[in-house]
Formats: sequence, C-alpha cells, structure tokens
Amino acid sequence: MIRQIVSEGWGILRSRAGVSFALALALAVPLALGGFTVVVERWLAPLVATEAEAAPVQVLLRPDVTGQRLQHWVDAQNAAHPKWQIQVVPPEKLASRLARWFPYFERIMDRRSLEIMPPLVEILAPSPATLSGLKNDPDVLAVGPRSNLGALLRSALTRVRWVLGVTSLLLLAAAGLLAAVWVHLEMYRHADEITVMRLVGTAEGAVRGPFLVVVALTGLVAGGLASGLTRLLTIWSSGVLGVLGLRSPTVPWWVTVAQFAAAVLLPIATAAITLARHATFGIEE
Amino acid sequence: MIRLREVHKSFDHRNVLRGVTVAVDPGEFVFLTGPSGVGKSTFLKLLYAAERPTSGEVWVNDMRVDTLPLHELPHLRRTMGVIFQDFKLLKRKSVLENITFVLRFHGLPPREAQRRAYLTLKRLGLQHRQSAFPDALSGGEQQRVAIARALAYQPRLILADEPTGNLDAELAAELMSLLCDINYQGATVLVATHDHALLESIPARTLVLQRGAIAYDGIWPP
Repeated sequence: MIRQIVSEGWGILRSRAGVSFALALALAVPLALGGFTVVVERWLAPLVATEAEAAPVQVLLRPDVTGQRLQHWVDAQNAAHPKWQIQVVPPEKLASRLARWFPYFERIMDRRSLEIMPPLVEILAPSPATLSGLKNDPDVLAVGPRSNLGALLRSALTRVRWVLGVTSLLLLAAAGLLAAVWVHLEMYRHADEITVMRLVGTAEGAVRGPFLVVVALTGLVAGGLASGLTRLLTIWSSGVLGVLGLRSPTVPWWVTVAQFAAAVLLPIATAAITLARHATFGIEE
Repeated sequence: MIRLREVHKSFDHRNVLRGVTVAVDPGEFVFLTGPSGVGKSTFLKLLYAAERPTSGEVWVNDMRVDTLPLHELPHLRRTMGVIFQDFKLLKRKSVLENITFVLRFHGLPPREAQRRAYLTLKRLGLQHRQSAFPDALSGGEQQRVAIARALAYQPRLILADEPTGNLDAELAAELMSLLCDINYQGATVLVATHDHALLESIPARTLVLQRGAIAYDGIWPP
C-alpha cells in the first residue's frame, strides 16, 4: 500500500516537474534567507558581546606609557576628573578581544611578547562626550567612540533580525499558500481517480497519501536548495570578510536540519489542511 | 444482504424516497426500475453510502449504513462493486492499470495485483486489450473494463447504475449475460435501469419505484 502511495505521488510529481520545482524554489528562498540571518547573527554575536563589555569609552595610550608612567597618567586623570572610573585593560584581555576578529593575531601573539600591545584604559564617565578632550593629551594615541556603540549595534542587529525574520515569514506563508493552492488544483485534476478510489473502498489515508508524498518530496528538494543557497551566501560573505582579514562565518549543522524540517513540514501541514477541508466527497447528508 | 426499513430521503423539501422497505437476499438478481428521476440512483447511493437517508434504516452486508462512521466507509465499499453508466475509468491509465490500481490500494502486492487483474480481464475476454487506454476502447469494452474492475476484488454485491445506458442493444444484451453469469457464480446483483426491453430480456425479481415508493416487487413482466 505504502509503495503504491509513493508510486502514485511520484507519478503526480513527474507530471508536474516544473510547478514542483517552482514551489520548491518558493519555499527555499525564505528558508535560505532565514538561515543566512542566523549565520550573520551568530557571526556578529562576539562583536555585540565585546561592545557590551566596552560600554565605557576606550582610550589607547602610546606604547611607551607603561609601568609607573601609566599609573601616574591614571592618577592624574582621577585627580582632574573625580567622577571618572578608570580601569587599565590587561594586555592579555586586549589581545584576546582582538583575536576574536582577527584570527591571525593569535599566531602573532605566540611569537611576540604581549609587551608590544599599547596600553588600553577604559573610562566610564557620566558624560562620555567630555572625554573628547583627551585627544589633545600627548600620551593618548586614540580615543574610542564616545557614543554607546554596543547599544547602536544591538539596535541595528535587532532591526535587521526583524526585517529579515518578517520577510522570511511572509515569503514562507506565501509559499505555504502556494503549496495549498497547488494541492487544491491537483486534487481537482485527479478528482476522477479520487472518486474511483473512494468507490472501491480505499482508505482515506491512501486517498490523501499521494498528495502528501508530492509535497514532502518537493519539500526535500526545497530543503536542499535552501541549505545550498545559505552555504553559497556564507561562502560569498566569507570571501568579502576574508579580504578584510575578518573571521569567516559558518553554517551551524542545526540550521541545515531546521531548513530541511521546515521545508518538508510546512507544505505537508498546508496540504493536510487543504485535503481535510476539500477532499471530503465521502457522504452527502 | 440488503435491508431497507422505512427509508425516507428528501432534497430541499422534495421527497425522493418515501418510506421504502425492501429486502434482497444473498445470491439474488434484482432489477430496480422506474421512470427517470424517480430515485433509482439515490436508492443505490444509499446502499454504497454516497448519501445518507433522511430517516429509516439501511443495512448492507450486515453493516448499518445510515449511521456508519466515515472511517468505516472503506470497509463497506470493499464488500461491493459499483458499475456506472459513464464507466468512471481512469483515462491516464491503461486497462490493466485501471484494475491493478484498485487492487494495489486494497493491499495486494504488485505481482498478485497484476495476476488477478489479468485473470479478471481474461474472464471478460479483454486480455488482448490490457495495454490499451480507455479512449481507444469501444463503449462495450469500456463497460466490461468497469465490470472487471468491480469484480477484481471479488465483492459479494454488485450494484449497477444504468450499466447499459451508453451501449447499443447487442452490447447491452452481452453485458446482461455477463451480469447473469456473475450472479450465477454467487454474487448478489442489483441493476438500476429504466430500459423495459432489458427487463423483459431476463426474468428476474424487479422492484418498481413510483412516487418514491416501491409500487411493485416481483418477477417482470407481471
């Protein structure tokens, strides 16, 4: 019986190869978009975490400002600005932060001493804008952004997540609707077969089975396409980021599994609902 | 085999059947006749549960059909074969596939389904047309394929709704002879027809429907 259901489903699929592929593509695009959103989010996560830690303004001092001279600089700033909270960032921590984004840095650090790291201090001030005056200090090499970059980044990331998420959901809903309409049309195209099957006592599951097989097979193709598209986007972005010396994003295994599961389950669910609503030619009351 | 008790059926306040009570025993050959639109097809639909009666009891093959739950419907329909005037053959499938298609959904393995389909076609003299598609067959051949499909899973009851409606007199006689043969081999046969010539060709029990009730029950002609 199952072999017959699969065989009938395969027959329908073969006779509608073009439409099936279009449906698979319609499912694959939003799933690929959703998958790539996850990849980007995971890639950006360390930066957001770093910036969250670095909510205070970062001030990079000249490499020769070390030891007692560094302590003297800190004391002087404390005296001049009693409300500032100044903290010296240990060279190991700075190196670790840099290595998160520039992987080759770790290898450099293996060969050279941490002493080459310029001293970094973090200053928490009630009004970060007042720190811009430090740029004129002869011991200061650079002053980091005075606005809360972490918050900005998080907000931008949240917006990107929403836009891509909502777009993916809308496209997925459209693809689900497309699957339902397609099943509806196929059901009417095969109305004579359904009637005969019912008249000869075919179980309801076997009547609906071939249509579910069709959408499940289409879903598998869509899952493969979605996974492939996500990988292509990831490889492309890796190339761009590699030029900048940044770490490459990766596609987690569970994104691929989720894409396949959604690609198969969504059309099956919509097809099952359509069949339940419209394929009930059983008894006229 | 078939029992109807005080069966009423109405569509939009139009009473088609009014208190029909009738019984058909196993192995009987019965004609159901009456003018067009009198409710012959409705009578048959009640038996294969395509419709439910407005009131009354319908029993077929020891199953109460009027209250049969939907999931029990396939069990009922597997005990009967239904033959239609318009044959209801699948145009995209060959003659053999039209029969194996049904047998496969009845759970038979592919080889057994093919073997049984071939034997049924042979019984009806259609084995040489097994690869042909329905559109390439004559009306008589198409009706024989429909009968082969109904017989393939060896039902105890055959319901035929105007089976000779699309056939000429010669083919109609041939078909009736086939149905008699099926009945002779043990199946109960109920044929709905308005063709009087057909009724007179075979002396069999005849139910005459008039104004929604059984007006005559006996051998035809009276």
